Order: sequence, then C-alpha cells, then structure tokens
Amino acid sequence: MDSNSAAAHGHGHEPEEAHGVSVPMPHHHVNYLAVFGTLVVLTIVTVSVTFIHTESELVKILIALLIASIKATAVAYYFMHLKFEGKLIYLIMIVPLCLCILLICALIPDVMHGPLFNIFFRQ
Amino acid sequence: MSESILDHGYIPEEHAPDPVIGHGDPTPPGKIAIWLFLASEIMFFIAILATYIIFRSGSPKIFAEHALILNKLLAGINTLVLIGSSLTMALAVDAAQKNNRKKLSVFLAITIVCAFGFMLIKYFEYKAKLTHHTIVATEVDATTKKPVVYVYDGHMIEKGDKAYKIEGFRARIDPDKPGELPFNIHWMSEKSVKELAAMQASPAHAAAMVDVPGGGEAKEEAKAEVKSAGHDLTESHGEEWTIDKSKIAQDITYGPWKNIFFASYFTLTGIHGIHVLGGIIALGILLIQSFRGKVFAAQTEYVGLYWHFVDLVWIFLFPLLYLI
Repeated sequence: MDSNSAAAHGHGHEPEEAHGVSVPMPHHHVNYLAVFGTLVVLTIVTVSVTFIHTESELVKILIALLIASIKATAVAYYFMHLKFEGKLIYLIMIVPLCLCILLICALIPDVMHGPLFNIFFRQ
Repeated sequence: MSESILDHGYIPEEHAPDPVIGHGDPTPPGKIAIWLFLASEIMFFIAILATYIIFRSGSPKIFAEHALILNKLLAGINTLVLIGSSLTMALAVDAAQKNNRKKLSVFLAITIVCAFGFMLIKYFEYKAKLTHHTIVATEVDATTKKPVVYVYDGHMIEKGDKAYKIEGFRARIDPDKPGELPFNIHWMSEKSVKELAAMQASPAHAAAMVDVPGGGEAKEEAKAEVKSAGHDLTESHGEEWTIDKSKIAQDITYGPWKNIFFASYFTLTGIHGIHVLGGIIALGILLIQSFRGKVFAAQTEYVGLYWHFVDLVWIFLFPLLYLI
C-alpha cells in the first residue's frame, strides 16, 4: 500500500493535477456478477414467500427481514468493500448499528400487546 | 525524496500517519469521512423506520388493508433496477481504480440511467396513489326518493367541471350503530369499500331490499343477478361511476393526508427518493469529469459507497412497505 502510493507520487509530473489522471489505484478482486445474481435470486425468493399462505404473520415478517438482512450484508461486504476494510471502518459502523439495536429494543414495550408481554407487565 | 516537507511546508496527506488508529493504517481521510456520513444516515433512517414500526403496531388494520393497494410488481422491478445500478456502480469504481476511463463512463452512464428509471417508476407509483380517490356523496334514490349516502373508492378516469368519473367500488353508508366506530373517510380502503359493497349486494341482503313486481321467477332472477354482481366485485377492478360534483360531501386522495399508512409510505419512499436524486447529481458530476478526460478514482469510490447505501436502504423498505 505504502510503496504503491509513494510510487504514484513519484510518477506525478505536475503535483497539482494529481487528482485528475493518476496511476491505477490498488483494486480488489470481487466477482460482482455473482453477488448481483445472488441478490436477484434473493429478491425473487422474498417476493414469492409473500404469496405462500402461512398462519402466522410473524413468520412472514421474520423471513422477509432475514432475507433483507442477508441482501444488505452482501451489498455491504462485497459492493461496499467492507471485506477489505481495516478496523477503523468497522469501528465507525458498529456504533450506529448498536444504537439501532438499542432503539428497536426500546420500542418493544410499545409494539408488544400480546400475552407474551403481559407476563412482564401485569395489569 | 524530491518532494518533502521542505517543498510543501506540510506533510502530504497520503504520507501522514493516521490520526485515529495510529501509524500504518492506510485508510484515506475521505473514506473515513464518507463512512461517518453513512453512519449518520443509518441513524436518520432508523429513526423514521422506528416511527413506522410504532405506527404499524398501533394501527395494524389500517396498515394491512391499505398496503394491498401498493403495486408489488412495480416495486419489485424497482428493486431489480436499483440492484442492477449497484452492480454497474461497483464496476465503475473498479474501472476508475484501473484508470479505465472509457469503461468508467459507460458504467456511470448505465448507473444514472438506472437511477432515472427508478425515479420514473416511482413517479408512476405516486401518480396512481394521487389519482385514487375516496369520495362521500349524498344522492337521492330514484325509487324511494330518500337521500342515500354513498362512499366511492377508485381511480379518477375523468375529472370534469360538473362531474367526476371514477372506476372502482361504491357502497352505502348506513347511519352509525351504537357500539361501532363512526364512519371515517380516512379509514376507508379499496378493500373495505369492496367488501361493504359485496355484503350489501349479497342475496340475503338483496332479498330484503329488491322488490320485483310479479314475484316468483322474476325475483329469483333478480337475486341471481345481484349475486353474480356481488361475486364480480371481489374479482374485478370495479365499475365506472359518474358522480355529480355538487353532491360530493368529502373527497380525499391516497396521498400522505389519507391516513397513517400513507403518511409513513410517502415519508419513507420520499426521503429515499431524495437520496436517489442526490446520488444522480453526484454521479452526473463524475460522468461529466470522465467525459472531460479525468478519472477521479477515490471520489468515484466514495460516491459508490453512498450509492450502495441508498440501494441497501431500499432493500429494507421494499419488504417492509410492500410485502409484509
């Protein structure tokens, strides 16, 4: 990495134009088409699941959210190159993700009206 | 070292030690900045998603009934369009990093076309909602000469000066019964009007209502006719109705003012749409620079990260709003 950028700097004849035309940057080898294919298949799966009649609405919601999470992870990991990032980027992303989980957990008392929750909050 | 601190008076960015992690981490400051921006975007979207969760858990019936009118096919196509644009964006970043300007231009152009395609489909979706009316009108029954209140629900076909022509369903509103919720136009969905109309047209209901002279055979025929009409109602897109404008008491479209479901729907998809438009501007700048012969590899990567994030948000919005 360091030697590469140093080389790039050495090649630049006019330093002020270094942004415009530069030597190829280090890039990552990802089979983007395979990732795209996976995402398309998962989209078709999540749409077709909704046409299957199940007794429980909750099961449908959980399946849809599970598939969406897998798709989101694939996009972040391969398209957004999270696979190749260092600790710093993970550190930046973990903070809001923890806060998201905290926020959703804070909603549980408002969302749950069923018998499950009445165990904790008896009237 | 031809260029050093002595030349510039400062340490060039790429050689400066990372201030956060320390020496050796090669993450460029621009990338840290865009990831921090995305982190704030996550908090923004989770906040409006949290309001959606609260609203939905509080009014499950309104959400279940009104979500049916959303077009799953168009939204599914839009999902594929956005995933496709994410693919071309990833390939554009790859091309920029390999300093392949021609490929970069092609992939950026395809990404922008996909983005406009997404917005075009979104426009048709919004238009379908904003031309879908729920109308309450008081009309005088031709035979009994008594005023009857009807609720119509359907697509506006012709918006004339004196009368509206809509394609949809019509049901009678009976006076509120004790113990039932009073009629509220904001809660009437296409499904509820359709079901009400089918119930009012059911044979048991019709036998009491239809008074055919001659009785016997003719009455049976009338019953069968009403029954088939009631059956059709559950299958078709409804009938055409002409409503005299002067008789309309209430008129509301399926906009964000309709009810809590459409408020959530338009807020979530609208804010996502604004992000897509912002992405189009950023992609457009990169494309123009590429046409001018410049390849901004790092900047392309940052715009790419933003674009993938917009795709990622839609991946969650699509099932939440349209499918479940």
